[in-house]
Amino acid sequence: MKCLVFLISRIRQYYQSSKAIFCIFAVGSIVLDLLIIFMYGSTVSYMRTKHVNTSYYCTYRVITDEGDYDALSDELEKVLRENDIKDIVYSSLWRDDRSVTLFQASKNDDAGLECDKLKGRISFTESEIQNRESCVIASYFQGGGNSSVKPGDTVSCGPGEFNVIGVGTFNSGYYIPSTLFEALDLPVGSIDVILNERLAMEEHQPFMDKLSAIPGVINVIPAYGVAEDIEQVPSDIAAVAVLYIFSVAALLFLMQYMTSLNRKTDTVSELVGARRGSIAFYLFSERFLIALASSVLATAIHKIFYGSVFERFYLTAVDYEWRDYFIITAVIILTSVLASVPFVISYVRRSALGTLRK
Amino acid sequence: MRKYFLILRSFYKNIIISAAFLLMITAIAELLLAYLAGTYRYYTRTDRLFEGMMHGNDAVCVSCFSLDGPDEAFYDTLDGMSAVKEIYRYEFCGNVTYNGRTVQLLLANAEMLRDYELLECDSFYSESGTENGLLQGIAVGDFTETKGEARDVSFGYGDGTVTVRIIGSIASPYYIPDLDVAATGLTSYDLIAPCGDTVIIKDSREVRELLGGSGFRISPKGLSFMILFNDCAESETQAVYDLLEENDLYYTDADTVAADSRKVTSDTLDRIMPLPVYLTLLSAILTFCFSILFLHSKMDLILTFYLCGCSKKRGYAIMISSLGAVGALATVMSIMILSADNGKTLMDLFNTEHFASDHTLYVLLICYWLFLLFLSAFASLLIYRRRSCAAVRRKVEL
Repeated sequence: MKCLVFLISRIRQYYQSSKAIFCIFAVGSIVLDLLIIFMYGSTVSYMRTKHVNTSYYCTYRVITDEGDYDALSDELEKVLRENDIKDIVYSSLWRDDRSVTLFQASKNDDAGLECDKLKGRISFTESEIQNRESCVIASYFQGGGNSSVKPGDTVSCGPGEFNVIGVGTFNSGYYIPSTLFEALDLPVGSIDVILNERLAMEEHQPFMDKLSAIPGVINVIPAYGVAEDIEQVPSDIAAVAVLYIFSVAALLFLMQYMTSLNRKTDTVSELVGARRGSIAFYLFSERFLIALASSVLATAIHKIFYGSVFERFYLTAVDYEWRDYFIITAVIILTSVLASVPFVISYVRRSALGTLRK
Repeated sequence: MRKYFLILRSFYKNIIISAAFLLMITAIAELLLAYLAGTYRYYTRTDRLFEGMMHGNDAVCVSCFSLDGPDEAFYDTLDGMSAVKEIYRYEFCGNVTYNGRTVQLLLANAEMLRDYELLECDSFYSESGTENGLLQGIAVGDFTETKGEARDVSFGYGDGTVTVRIIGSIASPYYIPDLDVAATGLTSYDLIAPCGDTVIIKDSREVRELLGGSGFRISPKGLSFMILFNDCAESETQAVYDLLEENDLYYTDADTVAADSRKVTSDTLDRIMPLPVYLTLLSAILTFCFSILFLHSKMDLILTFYLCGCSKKRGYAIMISSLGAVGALATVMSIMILSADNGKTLMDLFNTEHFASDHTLYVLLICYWLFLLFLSAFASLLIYRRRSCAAVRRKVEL
């Protein structure tokens, strides 16, 4: 408590000794904190992509040990009952002496959701599905090059011959009707579960665990976008912290100036027996206190005026949660203290008493 | 000048580290600002070039996803349809040489380049695409300087030469409609791309005869083409779409291309904008803070000038010019980097290809410096507005 009172009196002393500089420093600190909150929302990947709902963020791949279509299908239905599913795509690799062919079947009986039609059709008709006709939608890229197949062609691959009904922009393999996939009894190598809406960060891991619990599942590959965002969080926050160190260092020149103006306070401290280490401790503590106060104030301003003022500065909608504000506050406080290290060292290197005598 | 330099030196004595810090931040902010503005300029200009090509017509961009594109009979059928106004496509005539450089000759619909923003020429192609028995062409690239005036240029071709009357040129950065791409999500940035060492010749019967007579072989070029529609009934347009589908051709209408392009622009700006905005604001805040800090710490120096008979006005001039020197130096540095190698240094620095540099960027940098100067002036006014230097000094001392 004594320490806190002393720190507050020091800060009050700064204000009294040079009101203009102190006000500029305070306002500058708050503006800088608001700017770093803006930077956090605009540059940290997971903040920018919170509203992105592409398949990149909604597709979870379940790798199975070549399981049975019916059994896996039933299990998935049970597990995914509570989730809003857009499509489920089953994949099977057909291996023969000469080549490996990928067959895929979508629950919606089309060629997936993300591909465009290049030639013919990219969805199966009711009769093709019911009659389990041997027809395929071919990919544009086959065997590393552009496909020359056209609708009406017959391709011989895997378990027999198939009529090509269309060509899509997907990368490899053939889409067949789900009924045919089941009838051919193709072993399921992987299943793509495509959600209608991407999951929130905290729902991601429980969903992965749920999929992993299905019998016969070897591995679950998370949605690439979500996994990538999680992976990038530390480096993104580090980048924001480095940027803040440079920014706050500039403001600390003002702080240094105020500290130098009030060297007499430290002289008195030294006269009554304070060591240089203690002075350094108080300097760090006051940096900490100022950073805490300015960051809390900036967070409050941002939170209160986000809808009416700050939202306009963002090109895409960015949602800040309390967790994000907490991370930003922690970054601001830590980096402020870190950035003040060279300033404090250069200050305490010379004794305040000695400087005054000189 | 020497006096000013001495004043500057005494002003920045002991505060050189903080001044260097401010200089660094300002220079980085200005470079980032130039990068942001140049990127925005590239996107808007490319969009404008694409929209200019349409001449206000409805249009579709057609991609051929097959190794063998449509044949001449298809184009004849398409050309004969009532809905079709123009077909933009390239045909390759062959390579010729000029001053040791290989130049390609392309045959194209001349309407594609009519009113093209980057085209510099006094007159356009004639009806036949020839003039005094010579082919007319538009040069793309820096292999010949026309400055908008027509001139005859002889190109080496086999053992002989072929002379082309160059009626104009496409100005730097040599962006022309690029029909070499086939894609489903086309944007104007795919369709307008840089091209070097090319002569575009008008496609006409006379030109084809002339080229055939000179031994040139004409072959199709590119994986896509564009169709401009007349104002016509929907059924007539639908007939064109049906023909394209029959031939397994993928098409995207120009409005979709424009909308996709806008999305790319928005996404890119969204990605690159935060840092320049952050640093620009930071540099402005710091200029203001540091100006006050510098003036406070240099109060004795300013008082000395005042006591030596320096008027209040001149005192302000010294303060503002001294404070503005940091911004000026940063601006000079930024302009030097921006103008080095016609903006390529900056493009390498930010690892981007989508950047357009022109005089507006220099104007922007100078305006930004003037803004910083205004902040410095405001800071000095804030301190010395009413009182003299001596009065302010005395107050601080008390």
